[in-house]
Amino acid sequence: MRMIFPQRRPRTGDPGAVWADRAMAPLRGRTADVDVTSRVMRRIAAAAPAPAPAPLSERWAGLSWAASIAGGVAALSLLMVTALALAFSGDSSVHALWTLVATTVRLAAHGYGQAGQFAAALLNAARAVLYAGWRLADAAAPLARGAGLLAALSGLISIGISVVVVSRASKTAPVASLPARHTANGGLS
Amino acid sequence: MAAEPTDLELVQQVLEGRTEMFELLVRRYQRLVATAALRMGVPRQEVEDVASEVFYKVYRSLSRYEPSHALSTWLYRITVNAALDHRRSRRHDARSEEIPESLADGGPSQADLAGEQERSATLLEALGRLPDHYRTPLVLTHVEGLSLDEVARALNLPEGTVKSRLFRARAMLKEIIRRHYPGLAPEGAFEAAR
Repeated sequence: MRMIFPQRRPRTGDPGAVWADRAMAPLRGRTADVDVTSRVMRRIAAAAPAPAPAPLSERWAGLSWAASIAGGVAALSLLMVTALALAFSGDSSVHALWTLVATTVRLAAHGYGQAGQFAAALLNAARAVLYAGWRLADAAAPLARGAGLLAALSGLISIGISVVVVSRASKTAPVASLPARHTANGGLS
Repeated sequence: MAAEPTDLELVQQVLEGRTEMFELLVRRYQRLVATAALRMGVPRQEVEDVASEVFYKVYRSLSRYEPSHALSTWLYRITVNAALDHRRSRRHDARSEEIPESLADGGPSQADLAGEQERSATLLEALGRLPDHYRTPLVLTHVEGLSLDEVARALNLPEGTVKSRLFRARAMLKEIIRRHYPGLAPEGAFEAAR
């Protein structure tokens, strides 16, 4: 079958390896002398992973820990000394600071007092509710006892009636010692 | 005097962490790689970039090198791929930049093709008209001088496929030269080929 869109094919066949060798000879004279050594090695060096930081030895780790503690203690001591020096220097700003601290403490104490009163009121209310509940249960106890007694009595009466009914029924019951037989219509006689 | 280390020894030393030994491999093969790239159509001024890229890729994938094949074959494979990538990335550029005016017009005369440099440039232009998968085995076989087996390994193709592509590539090149670059035809080639 003929193709509608045939592929373009060269009109000539394979001219052979000798022809190709001769035709491509000019390209064989084309050479490139380059020196990419340093460029490649630089790129490789740049792409190499950065060396990981060397971990501290145990001795150095202990020393650095002790130095940190000593530094912390020194900083705290300096802070304390500065605060005390300020407190006893009679500076007006220190007076203002004391006033501020005293006011803050007083406010905190007042707030604490208010909170305490609120908690006490809450506790009293809870106690009153619990007491009322207890009194109610105490008052209702005779009623509960009476109801229980009544229920027990009713139970006893019910048992007595049942005993009487069963004993009477057993006296009037039919004798069932004869063998049962099937009747013509499928029943028992 | 100590003997030169073999390619395989150098590869093993690089893989063991002696990166500096890779420099010897670069020195040994940089001419081969650069020349192959040039012959594959990479412009001369960009050959150094491509060669550098090839060796960097070689270094990055050195652990995948199979010692059963020659290192040069593996290098050809990476170079061919790099040259084709380069060509694809430049495809949008005006092709006529690289074509001598006399050729861009069509109908080159024998006088225009004087000189080996111009002749090889024209030949590259003619080869550029071939699809990549035909041009590559043609260049590797008839310019680089690789055997059928080596070309098949370099292109990772069965030998039969390479052979059929070579037949077709030669026929296509002959037709291209006959139509557009008659000055490139070897003396008496058409008569001999008929």
